[in-house]
Amino acid sequence: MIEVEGLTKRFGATTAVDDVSFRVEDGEVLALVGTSGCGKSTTLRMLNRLIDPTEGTVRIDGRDIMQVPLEELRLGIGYVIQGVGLFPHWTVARNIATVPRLMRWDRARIDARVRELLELFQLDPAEFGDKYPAQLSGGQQQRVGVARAMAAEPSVLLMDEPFGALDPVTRAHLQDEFEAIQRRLGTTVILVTHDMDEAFKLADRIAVMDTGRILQIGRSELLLREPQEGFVRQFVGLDDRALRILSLHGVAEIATPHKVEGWEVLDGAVVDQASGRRILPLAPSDTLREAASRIIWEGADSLPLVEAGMLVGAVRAEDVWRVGRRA
Amino acid sequence: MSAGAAAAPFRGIEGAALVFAVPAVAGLMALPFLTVRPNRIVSGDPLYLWEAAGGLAVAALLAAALVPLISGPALRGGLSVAGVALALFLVGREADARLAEAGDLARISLGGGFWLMVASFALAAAEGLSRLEPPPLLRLGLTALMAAAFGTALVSGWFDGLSIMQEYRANAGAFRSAFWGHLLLVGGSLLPALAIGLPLGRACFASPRWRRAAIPILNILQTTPSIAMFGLLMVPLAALVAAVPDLRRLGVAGVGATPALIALTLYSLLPIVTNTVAGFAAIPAQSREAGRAMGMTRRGLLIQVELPLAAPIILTGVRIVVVQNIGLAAIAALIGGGGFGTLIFRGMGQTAMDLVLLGTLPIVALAIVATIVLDAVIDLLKGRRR
Ligand SMILES: Nc1ncnc2c1ncn2[C@@H]1O[C@H](COP(=O)(O)OP(=O)(O)OP(=O)(O)O)[C@@H](O)[C@H]1O
Ligand SMILES: [Mg+2]
Repeated sequence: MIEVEGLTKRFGATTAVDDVSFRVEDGEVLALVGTSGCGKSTTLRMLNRLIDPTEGTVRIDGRDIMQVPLEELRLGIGYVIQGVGLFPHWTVARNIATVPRLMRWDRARIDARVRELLELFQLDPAEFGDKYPAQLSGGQQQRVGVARAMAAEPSVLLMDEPFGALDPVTRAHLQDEFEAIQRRLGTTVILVTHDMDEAFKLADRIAVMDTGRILQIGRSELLLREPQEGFVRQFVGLDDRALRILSLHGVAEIATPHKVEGWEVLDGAVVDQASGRRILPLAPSDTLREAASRIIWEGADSLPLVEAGMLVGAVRAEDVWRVGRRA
Repeated sequence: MSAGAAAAPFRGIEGAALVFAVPAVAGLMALPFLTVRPNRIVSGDPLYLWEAAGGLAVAALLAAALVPLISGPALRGGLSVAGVALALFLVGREADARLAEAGDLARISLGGGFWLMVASFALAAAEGLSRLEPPPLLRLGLTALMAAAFGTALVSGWFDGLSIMQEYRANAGAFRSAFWGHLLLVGGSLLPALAIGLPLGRACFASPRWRRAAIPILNILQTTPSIAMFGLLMVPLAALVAAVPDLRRLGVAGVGATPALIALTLYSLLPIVTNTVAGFAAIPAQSREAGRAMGMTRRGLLIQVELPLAAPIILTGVRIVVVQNIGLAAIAALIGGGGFGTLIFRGMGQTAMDLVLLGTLPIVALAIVATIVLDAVIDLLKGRRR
């Protein structure tokens, strides 16, 4: 658990972070969003004492970070720095092994862990392990940066724009990957991003910052349903808020056994027996946003839900609309 | 278009190389390849390359004229190396032949034609081979191979007919101690220079105040003429030894190796300090930040991240210093500091040019080898990282 209270940082006359307070529960993901220069990185850097706060306290798992020996504190916190910052003179494998080596793991354990992480992030260990950062694409470097931060399985992970320089496909893939790993390990994460979609996708709660202050912090859906007037409203964006709310929910939440009779599974697709049309079914991992898009596309009033080749239920349009509707 | 067609037969030729080829050939014709003297004292008769026996001499002349004109760098470089070898081969063979004619007291010394031939081929070889940008390990390998070939010829007695080798045999002991003395001066000044220069450079990088204080002083040291530096050091050192006689037992004295080592160390500081500052400045800020964020101690960060990243630039400073001190160390002989300078100055005193050469050639060789080796090490360090 991370508890931040009254955190303030001044650089001369500028106040980069101004009286910031928040809590992140164990296993929770908090996204810190805001425009460039609003103090996101500065906040993050104070959490592992890359810089010391002017005022305020930070407690991690109940311990004031000023009381923890500096190296011990940092070894326990995974950190993805803004702009990746791989060590150019070390291979990919050596980069990922940085913290385990500092913690004096034995060789075999380090090698196994490096291989595991490379595979997790879809980088073939045989191909990439011995490459130098300059030989990687920007996206590959970012993956190594995240892998390096997670190498020693830290309970707390701070990530400063970890997926910045990626194309939408790779980015989405990596976000999925990361989400799965984070869920499995129960890591507590603070994620800095200026991409609202990324924040909604990965975070349990979102804090919106502007000029050093947190203007609003809350569950993602709350931010969409009841954004504060002014900056937050503008930054969160209300044009597609219904769709964004839908993206926060999975189809499993509202699936019903209704209408399963009229459909038949035929090699991967579902055939509607009345019309004879083939319909691409929904999977349990799909969000309601995907369901809504497909409902509109198919012109249907419900879509089949297929799990492991079995027809398990239907997602009805009216239920989808209800979830996205104002309270 | 007609001009292009007329030029076509010459397409494989470097036009600019004519500038080198013409004077080289003229020099080879006009300057003696060897000088033959009946004994050590009297002046001698010239032996020109074209007077030397056999087709090889003609081949050498032709090669000197044509090889620089070849436009392919690999062929040009390779043939130039062969040209150097040919010059060395000829000089050994001719010396033996003349010595047999002129008797054992005769002196066969190297002439301007020989030097011109070696120098122009060596330049062409270095230029041609460096165009190929061979990888560092290959460069080291080639250098070792050439050094081994030359060393074998030397040991096998191929050059024994030359007066410089006669001079060597008469001064073998002095040569050996000059060699070790020279290495001691260069190595013995490099170590303290690193021990002082690296921390000083680090401090200058971190603090503008240190930089403002240190760099001007080092600049003044660097521009002090070496003779003046030795003189300036003799007085306080002599006083110091007089005050603390125990130092004398450690070999410290106002003359000899001590002031020479100190002077060379002082000369080394500016390049090492400025390159250390530049090296640290070139470390990406993100690497430093990442190292701290991962939990490295200051020491760990310095050793694991900062020094390796600054190393190529720092080593460039080391190379400057080593090459500079290999040359400067010759002057140490003036104050009894040892090294190849002893042979040079003794040779100058006796107007024995061969003795001067015996001191000079190893200095040149050391400087060339040091440059090649350190450059290769720097390239190896840079490796694939950028
Ligand atoms: N070391 C420093 N010295 C002086 N000012 C600083 C320093 N670090 C940050 N600042 C200032 O503090 C403010 C917040 O910077 P910060 O890096 O936290 O922004 P950010 O939200 O991370 O922006 P971005 O999204 O562009 O990374 C900026 O105005 C910046 O200029
Ligand atoms: Mg930032």
